[in-house]
Amino acid sequence: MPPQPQKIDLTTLEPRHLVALKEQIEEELQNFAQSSITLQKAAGEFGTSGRSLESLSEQKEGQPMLMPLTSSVYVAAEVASVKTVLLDVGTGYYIEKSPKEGVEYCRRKVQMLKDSLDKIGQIMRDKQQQLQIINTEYNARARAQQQRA
Amino acid sequence: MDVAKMESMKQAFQTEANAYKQLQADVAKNHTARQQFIQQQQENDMVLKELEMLEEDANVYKLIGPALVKQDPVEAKSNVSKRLEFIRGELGRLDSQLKNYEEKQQKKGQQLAKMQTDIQALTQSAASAVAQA
Repeated sequence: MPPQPQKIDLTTLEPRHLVALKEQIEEELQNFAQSSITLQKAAGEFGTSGRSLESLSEQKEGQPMLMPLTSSVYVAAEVASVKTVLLDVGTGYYIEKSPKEGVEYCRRKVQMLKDSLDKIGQIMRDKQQQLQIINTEYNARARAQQQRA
Repeated sequence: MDVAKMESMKQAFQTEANAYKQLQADVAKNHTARQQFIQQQQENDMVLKELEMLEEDANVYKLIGPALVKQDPVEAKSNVSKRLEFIRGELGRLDSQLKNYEEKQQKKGQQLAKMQTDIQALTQSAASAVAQA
């Protein structure tokens, strides 16, 4: 759903609404933090893939290597071809490309993820600011209440 | 004071309240479905962009079950475009559905508030009648 920009005059809100608003923003912040962790992980994975491809393109055909079957079991193998690699581009589609193009692809993906991360970071800063404003207002309200009592 | 009238009002209120809850559940369901489609849309968008960058003689495969099956790049592109079109259509449908739900929800909310005040008024008049007697 597109976020609806709306201005709320905090001074007109009741304290319990302030608290609700605060909780809502805190929850949103948490979701964004979660997303940015996921994005960072994905960016890291694409970075690793890119580096692997780079080293693969420097190898020659017939070069002996150890292939991981699991994370701790390896078998001796030979590089059969360094001409093409298959890239998983999503929704079940794989594209045959040269390793160089593969590296390019990984770099593009990392860049895209970084852009998203920047966007999320900006949103998080905005939300944090909102949260601060709400907190200030809430505290001011609490003090006023105390003075009246 | 007719107790029967009071009872039927309360019952009607309960029915309406349940309908309201049902609406809320529908809205939540709509939301989940929408998120799924948005996710698919983004993934398909990405795939389409990659496919568009390809040369005509590029090799494209599709994972069907456990097997990779070779596809014609042009055909693959049109398939993904079709898929995107379908997703867009679904998103539009969900949008209008949500609007419909929201309108209904607002109406129901007003109706519920009115019924509540009616019941309160009736209870009060009954109470004062008892007090006078």
